[in-house]
Amino acid sequence: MSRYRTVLERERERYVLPRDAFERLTRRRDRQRRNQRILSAVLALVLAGAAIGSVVLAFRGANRQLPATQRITPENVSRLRLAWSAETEGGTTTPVATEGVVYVGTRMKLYAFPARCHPSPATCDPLWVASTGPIAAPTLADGVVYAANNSPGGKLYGFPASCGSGGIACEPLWTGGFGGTYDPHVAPVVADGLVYVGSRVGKVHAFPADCGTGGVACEPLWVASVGVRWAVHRLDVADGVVYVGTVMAATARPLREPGMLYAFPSRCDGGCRPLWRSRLPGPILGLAAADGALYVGTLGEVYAFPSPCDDPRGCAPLWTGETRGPAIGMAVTDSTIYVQGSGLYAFPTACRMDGRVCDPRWASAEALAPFSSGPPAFSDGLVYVGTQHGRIHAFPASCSDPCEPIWTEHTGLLGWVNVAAEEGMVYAGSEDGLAAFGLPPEPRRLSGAEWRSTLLFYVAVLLLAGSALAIRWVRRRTSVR
Amino acid sequence: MRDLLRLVEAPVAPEELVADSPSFEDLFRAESNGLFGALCLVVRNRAEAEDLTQDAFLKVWERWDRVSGLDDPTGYLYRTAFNAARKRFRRAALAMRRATRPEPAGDPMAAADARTTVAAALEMITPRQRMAIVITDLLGYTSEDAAPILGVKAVTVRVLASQARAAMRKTLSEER
Repeated sequence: MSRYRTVLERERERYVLPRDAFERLTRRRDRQRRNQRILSAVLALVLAGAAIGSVVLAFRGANRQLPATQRITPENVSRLRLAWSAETEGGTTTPVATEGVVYVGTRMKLYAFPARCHPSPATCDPLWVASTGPIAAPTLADGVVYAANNSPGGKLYGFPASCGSGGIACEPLWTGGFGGTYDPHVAPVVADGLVYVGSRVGKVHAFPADCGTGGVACEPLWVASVGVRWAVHRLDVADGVVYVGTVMAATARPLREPGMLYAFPSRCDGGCRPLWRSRLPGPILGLAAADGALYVGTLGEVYAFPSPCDDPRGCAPLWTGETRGPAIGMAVTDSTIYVQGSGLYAFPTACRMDGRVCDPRWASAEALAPFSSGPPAFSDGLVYVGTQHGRIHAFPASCSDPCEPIWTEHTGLLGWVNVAAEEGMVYAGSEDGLAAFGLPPEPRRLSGAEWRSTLLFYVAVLLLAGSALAIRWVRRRTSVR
Repeated sequence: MRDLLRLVEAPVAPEELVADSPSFEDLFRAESNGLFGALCLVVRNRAEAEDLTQDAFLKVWERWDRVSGLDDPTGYLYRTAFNAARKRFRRAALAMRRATRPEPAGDPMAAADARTTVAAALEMITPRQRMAIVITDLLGYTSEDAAPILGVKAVTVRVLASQARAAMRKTLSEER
């Protein structure tokens, strides 16, 4: 063995490192340390980027204001807060909200506001404004906003819904003279390509919905008359029939006089005569046609008639209902008709067929009244009504008698409040302006898949970091023996 | 007793503390050529051996705070170097690099003579056998101590070293 050791030692001695070997080793160590620092920095950047990206993806939209999918339900209605408010010139009629825009008429103008106005709850600026004079509640159909001037000799206007933004002045597509409406809360009715509007001088005008552009003066396709003694107070169209509710015009006390109910064919070419007419003991203050029935509200009573009715003398009512005070605003759902007046009543639509008195499913508590004359707003199992002193009440659709509201809020507005509800927002209009309520933003809940992927990511990061630390620790411990 | 207390309380000069623990540079100066030569014998490639030497010293340097406290820092250095060499042998790329022969230093005639004898003998045996004979015969490790460095059992170390000696003996005797 010693022989080989000698041989190998002699051989080994022939190999000598260069003189600057230590300096080269030092340089190599410096390079190695620099590379390790760069690698650590890159790794840290990648991990940080991945972590930040994951957090951003997971919680993106958490601070979004009033997400469109957030519906107002009986469970969360108590969380409604003022989202924004707007000042209008000349008070407001019943607001109408549709497709992300809320329209409201005043005694001077028609306003279009973005439904989700920012920044909330600051004063909201309108998208566009139209100078119309005093107008009743507007109606939107097929991209056109219809508004009827309710002064004597007034006009029906057709405005493009997408007229513009930034508060520009909007010009009408067309106008049509009809004589002015009787009630500021009566919106024009659009059905089957026609716009119907009733006048205070006992006439119903039917204009073509796409009458023209560029502000042309449009002539009605037909005009039906119910006589100058009767002012058209309510209008609705269903099943090819135009229902017209009237109050007596030439009297100092119209609410003490009877009312006439007319039914005209919706296509009334060549002289329009009513299909039938019926005299009711009180003025016709509310009217709604839906699902094979015509609901008529008078001073203290609700009537449900069959629709259509083939008897030229008028059909007997299917049922009648009693209300405290006038039955004015109506909102019909699949199974219930909500009647608003001095109180709020929920009648079943299919109550009975024998003309006898129908008891409401529930009625609001008497102490809450009186409610405004605008129609109630129904949305997602909730019925909203406005009151005399600037308040809004929300009642659950499935309530019991006497029904107490599950949410009440003072709008900050003065006077009678009329309401509208659409896509997670509640709007209130009064003489004082417009207020919009919405659910406050809440952190977005992660879906199951998002939770899993986020959890997986953090577990992977923890495993990687833990593995790296463990390897480093083990190497430190075991490499020096 | 008083003398003993004086000894205990006597302050220790910093230079004395330093003298007790050798610096890394001291280790490098003392062991670098020996390790380099041994690795040249094993890997049969000067550049490869120099690379392995630097790697081993760098690893020791990284852990010098601990290695300096060991009983045998040199042993740790050699174990690190030979472990690295063994891992490199496993790589397929090494076979291609081995085409380059190490360049011996010193007298050219003597070097040429040595290369034809010892170097030729080392060329005839496998890398594992070379490592076994260098670790046991040149560095003086027992087969038990060499086993973990080679990653085999002690008996395998003895077999490899014996095979290497036999092959070298045959080659060296033929050269004569």
